[in-house]
Amino acid sequence: MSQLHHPRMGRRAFLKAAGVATATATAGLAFKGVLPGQSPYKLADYSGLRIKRYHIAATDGWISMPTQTNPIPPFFPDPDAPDYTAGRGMYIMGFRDVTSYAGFVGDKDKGEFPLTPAIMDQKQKAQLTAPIIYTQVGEDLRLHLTNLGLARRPDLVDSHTIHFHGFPNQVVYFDGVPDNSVAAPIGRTLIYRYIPEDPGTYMFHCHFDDVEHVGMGLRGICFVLPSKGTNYAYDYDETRFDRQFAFLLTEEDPHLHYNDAHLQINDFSQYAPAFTLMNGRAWPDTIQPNMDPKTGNQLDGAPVASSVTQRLRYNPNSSLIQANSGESILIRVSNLGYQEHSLVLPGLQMRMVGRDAKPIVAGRPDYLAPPPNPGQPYVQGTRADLSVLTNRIDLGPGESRDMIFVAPHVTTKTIFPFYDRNDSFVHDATGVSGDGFGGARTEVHVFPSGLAAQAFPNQVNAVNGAM
Amino acid sequence: MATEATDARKVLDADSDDAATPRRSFRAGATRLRGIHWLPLVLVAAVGVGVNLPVRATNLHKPNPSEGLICSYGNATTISVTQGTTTTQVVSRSFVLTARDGYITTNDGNSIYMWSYAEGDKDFQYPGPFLCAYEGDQVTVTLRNTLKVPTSIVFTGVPGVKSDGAVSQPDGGAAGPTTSLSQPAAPGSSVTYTFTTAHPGTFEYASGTDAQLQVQMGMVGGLIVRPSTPAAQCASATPPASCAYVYNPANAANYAYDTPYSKFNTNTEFVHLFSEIDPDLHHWIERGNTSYDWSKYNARYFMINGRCFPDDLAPNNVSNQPTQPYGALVHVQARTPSNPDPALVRYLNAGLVSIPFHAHGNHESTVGIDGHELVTASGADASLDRFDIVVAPGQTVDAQFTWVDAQSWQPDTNPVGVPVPDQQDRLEGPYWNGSPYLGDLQPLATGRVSYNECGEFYHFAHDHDLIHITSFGISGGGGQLTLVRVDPPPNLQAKYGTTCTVPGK
Repeated sequence: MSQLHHPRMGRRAFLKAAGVATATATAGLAFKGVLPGQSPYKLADYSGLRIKRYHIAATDGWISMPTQTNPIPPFFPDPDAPDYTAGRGMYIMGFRDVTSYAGFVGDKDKGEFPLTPAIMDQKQKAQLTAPIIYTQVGEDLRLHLTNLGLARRPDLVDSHTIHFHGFPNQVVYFDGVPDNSVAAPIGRTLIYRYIPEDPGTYMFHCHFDDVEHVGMGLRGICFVLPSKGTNYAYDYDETRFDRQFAFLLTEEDPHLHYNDAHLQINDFSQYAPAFTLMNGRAWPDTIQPNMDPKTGNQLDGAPVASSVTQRLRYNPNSSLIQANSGESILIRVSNLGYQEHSLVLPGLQMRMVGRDAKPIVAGRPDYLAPPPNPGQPYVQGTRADLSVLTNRIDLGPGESRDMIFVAPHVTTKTIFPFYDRNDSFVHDATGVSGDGFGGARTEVHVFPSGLAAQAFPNQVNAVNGAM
Repeated sequence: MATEATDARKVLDADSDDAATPRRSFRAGATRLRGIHWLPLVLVAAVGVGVNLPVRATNLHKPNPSEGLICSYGNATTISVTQGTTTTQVVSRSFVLTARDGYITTNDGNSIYMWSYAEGDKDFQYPGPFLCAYEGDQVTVTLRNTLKVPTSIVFTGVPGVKSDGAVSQPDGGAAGPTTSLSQPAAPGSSVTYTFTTAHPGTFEYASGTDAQLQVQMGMVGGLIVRPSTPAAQCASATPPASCAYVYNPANAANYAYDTPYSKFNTNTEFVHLFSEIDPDLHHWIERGNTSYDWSKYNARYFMINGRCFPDDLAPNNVSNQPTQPYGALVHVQARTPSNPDPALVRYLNAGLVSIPFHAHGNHESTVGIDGHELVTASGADASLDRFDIVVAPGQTVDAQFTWVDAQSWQPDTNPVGVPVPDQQDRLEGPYWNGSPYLGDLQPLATGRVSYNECGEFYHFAHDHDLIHITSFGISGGGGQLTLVRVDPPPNLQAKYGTTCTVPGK
């Protein structure tokens, strides 16, 4: 809620007038050709790249936790939550996907898009987690961030940003830290531009009043596909996959959410999370299909009751993993909570091929290898193969991992659990365990065959009416 | 030999002031010489008496840089060690640490009672000084205790430590109770620890007496061992490969370990020592209590090098933090072919929980962990690039950092291609250069304070357990958060007519 960190830096530089020298317009080209054919010492023409565009709106809203969870009065469920949360409502801030809404007019990259009624109407319709954002090396990623304000907290005139967590060699203007660059005040839009050169799994979040805004839900997962192909995690043969599933791990402290909904100040040294979430949902909601927050209908999978689609409309991202026998499945995991998480997948062996958006297989590039030309892979390096076989991974806040497993041959649908070791998470006021409802747990469903190809990441499909 | 070493140090100390010319000429000479130090005859002939000593006995180091690691090299002399019929020259390096109490300040104005290590007769400081030595040195650390309780030092990761001449080990045993993990000094007395630095790396030293309490009270510091290979070995006809990967302060680039993968720019060496403070505990001890109910433990201040953000951005030895001498600003220049070597950040975690430290801007390459280089058994480079370096309690991690202007956005030749909002449509941060472009310093809105010097970029580097970037639980200030300053390279400084303070000066 405070505006910015209070700066006390000892050195104070006076503002200087623009004073841009004109005589050395070619100075930026001075290094061109020093290392032939390799950035970063050259200027590149990025105008021909394929543009991938997302538009997200930051606002507040309400999501539903599983109906089986125990109440934690008076903080959870929130008594002011709307009906669709089915008595398990929690107040959030979030990034709402408005990419498909009418709103762009004129030249998109001149910011000529007044906030149309359709987009304005998404105020207090935040989603958790944000849409999965993905792009490929060789594309030109544009993220439009609109600040719609907080419907329930008009007293909080918070700005918002997008920090693309882990993006290498970022300029501060596109790094989304309000102290070091700019933030979008209410009613304004910022456009971020990224030229992705490093494939891998990342995450993004707001960095304004970070501990509060991230904790309230302004976060999402994103990843970059390699130039080698959209069915590879990195530019290496052993990272090929048939389906991919991305997971953003967090915990939720209902006190924080309640405090923000009811005009209370937070003391973060009292942080006490009661839920662990995958993609904004807790078990058993995690294995429900993807929802469309725009329509309130499900996006994919076998039909589920309308009560479920309405309840999960604003935590729309599924965590169900599916495979046909013999398929290679890529699991991407990022942790944007404030605690370490340890995930186990009993019965299936995974190979960890990447961490922190870097390949760890043989041939991975040297740290000091210059970024490649747009759309080109890194030069093969000489560093050691650090990939490992495992059925468990742990990652701290702000880390990511990429694992691939090969689905076993089965004759009937077979289920493997995939869960946080801290899975029996929610407890009631007397400390009684809640049987895992409210924890970060999902499942791997392996079918003999019959699953259609995945059209987008995390898409789930139905085989004979089953997911 | 000892006399010659002292003389050499005197000469070098004398011209270590800012009168640059004599120092620079000496350094240039030393650079050339060290590059060929497997030819000691040339060395002696060229410079004469004194320089045939191991380089580590001399003191070419910057005594007190305003940013980056401040090393204490102690008092070094060269001594002869005879084993059988072989006599070798080794460096004997001695330090005096005085356990003292004192107060530090936090970014929110609080004052915290602490115990820590002062160097020699100097005043209280927190954390303890960073002791620097070379591989193979015989190190002596004398601990003088001015506290009202016994105290001692454990050198984590350093083998063969002796206390007052005997092997250092815990008291008590299985029958207990254990009061000390190594030989303590009683109040008002002292104890002497000796060891030979077996291998290069970053190590923690901390209290081993009532350690849970005393480390929390601030009794922690760092030991840095720099790679070195004995001159005699490097003078042989077939010198070992490690002779090429030593630390010499006169060199522009140096190594953290005996391997080529650990190279770094000598002027950009930084340390981040993490610690956490439960203010209730410190208040309790300040009132004269000797123990604490650890079930009540709740850290509310989180520090890098003993300072909370933004106090940690201030220079080393800043006057308004007289007991907290170490800043945590990381300052580099964008990587170019003429500035190819990365910075080195040495991480130490003195707290009780793991710190997932996230540097914005670029991955860091972890080249060493717990004082051991990351190589495979066959010698292959096993370093790992991470955007989030998790440092466990008691762990040390050495990481390279560099930042390259990958897209080379420039307003005239390569504009960012998306609109920059007008001032009324944006909120500006005080570290921003006012422009998307590196080196382009533009004014901020009327009334906004700017801390930008020359169009440089500032990136966050912080604990991503975001609870730890608060002070006393308040969002938006404090904690284990610092900035990485990236300066425009010389061609962009020339383009925009700006001049940046040079990193490491």
